[in-house]
Amino acid sequence: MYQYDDLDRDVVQNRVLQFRDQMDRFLSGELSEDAFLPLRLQNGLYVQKHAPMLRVAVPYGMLSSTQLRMLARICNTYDRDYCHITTRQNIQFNWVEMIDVPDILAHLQRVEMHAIQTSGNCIRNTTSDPLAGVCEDEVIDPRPYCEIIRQWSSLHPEFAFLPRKFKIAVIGAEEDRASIRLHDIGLKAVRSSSGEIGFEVWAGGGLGRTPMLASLIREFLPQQYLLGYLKAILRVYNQYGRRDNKYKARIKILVAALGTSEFSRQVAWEFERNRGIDPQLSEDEINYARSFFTAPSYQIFTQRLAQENTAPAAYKNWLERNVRPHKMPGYNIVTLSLKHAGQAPGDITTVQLEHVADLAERYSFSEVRTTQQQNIVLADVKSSDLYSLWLESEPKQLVTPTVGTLKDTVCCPGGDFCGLANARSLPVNEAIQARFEDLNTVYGLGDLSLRISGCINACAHHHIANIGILGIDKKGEEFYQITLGGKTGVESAIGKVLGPSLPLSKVASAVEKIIQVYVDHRENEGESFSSTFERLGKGPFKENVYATDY
Amino acid sequence: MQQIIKNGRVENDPWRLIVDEDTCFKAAEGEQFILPLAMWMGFYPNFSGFDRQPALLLESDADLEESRRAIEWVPLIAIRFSNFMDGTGFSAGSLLREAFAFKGELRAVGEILPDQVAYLMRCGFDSVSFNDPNALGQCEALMQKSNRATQSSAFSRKSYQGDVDIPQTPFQQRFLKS
Repeated sequence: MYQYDDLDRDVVQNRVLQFRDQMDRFLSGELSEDAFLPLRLQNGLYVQKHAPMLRVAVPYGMLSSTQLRMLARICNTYDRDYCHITTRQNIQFNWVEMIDVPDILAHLQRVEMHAIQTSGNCIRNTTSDPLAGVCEDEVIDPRPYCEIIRQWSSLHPEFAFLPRKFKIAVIGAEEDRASIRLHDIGLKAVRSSSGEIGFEVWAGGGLGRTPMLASLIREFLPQQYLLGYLKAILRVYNQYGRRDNKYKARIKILVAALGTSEFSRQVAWEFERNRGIDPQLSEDEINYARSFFTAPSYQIFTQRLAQENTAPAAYKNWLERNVRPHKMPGYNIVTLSLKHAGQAPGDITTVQLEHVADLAERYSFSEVRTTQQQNIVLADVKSSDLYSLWLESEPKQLVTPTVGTLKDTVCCPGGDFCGLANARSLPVNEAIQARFEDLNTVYGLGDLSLRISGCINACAHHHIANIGILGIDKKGEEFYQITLGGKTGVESAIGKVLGPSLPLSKVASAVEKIIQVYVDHRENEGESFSSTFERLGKGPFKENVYATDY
Repeated sequence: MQQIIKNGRVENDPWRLIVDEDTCFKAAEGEQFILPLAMWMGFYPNFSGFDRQPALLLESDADLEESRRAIEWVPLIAIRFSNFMDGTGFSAGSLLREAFAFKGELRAVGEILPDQVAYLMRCGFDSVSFNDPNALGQCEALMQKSNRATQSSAFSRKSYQGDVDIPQTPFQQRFLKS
């Protein structure tokens, strides 16, 4: 994991001091509300429905036990004993006091964390594959490049006042577990036929009001040009992105308006004209970045360990759903689920944070990763430790054996907390989950994604869910639009709107009907929801959902 | 004479900024002017009646290629910021320094927050002229605090990217030490 040096400490500490001063000037009236807005947003501070919300960056999802304990301490001291993991791998505190934020930032800085550029019209936290470094399908570990991009984009003087927010994701494996095609820039590290490392560069993806998948704008960018090429993309966007309409300001609109080939041409031209000026990444520098992400000291196991035969069925379910193979024999990737019934998806309490910190310390080299699915991954757990880990975590409600199923809902805080939301998302999830209490039924459905966003900002990424739900406001009443057939991973697709929106009371039964159509029509138990949907089209689903209602 | 931020402090400035196109404009004796592109082109290349060659005012989203000839000629370019949320001018400034190798004075004028000045400097701007009359004093106070380095460090020179004069990749200065 990356460790700060003097420069990192200076940069982050300066930012903390600067923000404290800005807060003082705002409170004294020197800084107007309008002037303070972009400054506080660039430090992750939103003004929310009930209280300000502070979003803390978790660079590419990596957290240490020390950092987890600090987050626990902040939850306990400044918030209501819990926080929330976002779909961009960050942490949100929903109940902090504005006046405490400079102190919270100072605490975070002590454990090498910050809230820099977690909101506002600037380059946001770089996200990545939560299984980086440990999954079997990895070609290149993306994390050294994520760290280089984190530093390059942090307090970049040219790109702090862009037309709109800007998100970058990097992967280095075959399967895309970071949804790079839904990002403003998506990078896939690849190796050329001659063995050279470089990137596939995708641009112009995004969700929100106009969901779009990113287009490939460069098939192979040699790694030494990474930062110069990113700068060229940002420059084209900063000069030509629309600023007259907030909903047309993302880079996806520019890429769509120009067309992929014209956009790529402009980026290439911008890149070429600055090529002699932008310093390139040297091999030594990349190796230095790589040195922070070397494999931990794994033990060598010659044979797979036998399973606990006496263990309860719940443990076996957990092994099946929440534990996956590691590239090293004898090790496993464990997902700690934050989807316990009754808890808002992605919420984690002070006690759970402390417990996860302990687990990581004892079982996984003191590191964890947050995931886009709002869970936590322990990436390096020995097979012989799995049962103890499960036993210890069961009372902490961290072993709900439903990862990847319909019960692994991704959900934004919604209208219960968020000032932007049009509708609540949590009660929708509760109503749906109440209809799927039998785990065997849920397992019978296989992998199936459900995502619920409380407004068109699409924080829960509902467009890429097999079943996506979007809250909208109809004359002051909460309504929900359903989309079907979205997916992310090996392939990406944006879901299609099923039909007219439904009131809260009808959403859960609609989901139940959709599931029933899937179960009735799949060719066999192995046919996935998205494949069934592609084969059938939305007709039968629509017919069933709206048959009695309209 | 107006006051601006230049060289890290408040200075008196001799340039007079003409923002709007004025077909009746005549250069007054003993004064020096910053003119919008179209007006500037109108006097090019003789600039008769001017004591000193006028400087150029560009909108932040101006096509710099179209103004290339003027850019090579002028002693000062002012980039106009229409709104502090619109950061197009940060790229315009950086491009003038990098791709156009502009060596004259680069000035930001218009709707600018004192808190943006440090970034402007790193993008190659030498001077800032605020629309908001309160901003000058606030910016001066920020710079003084930074010099004392006790409270705000808005003008800290420590950064991952360096600036347009000495650009760097994040680890360039660091890995050799380890």
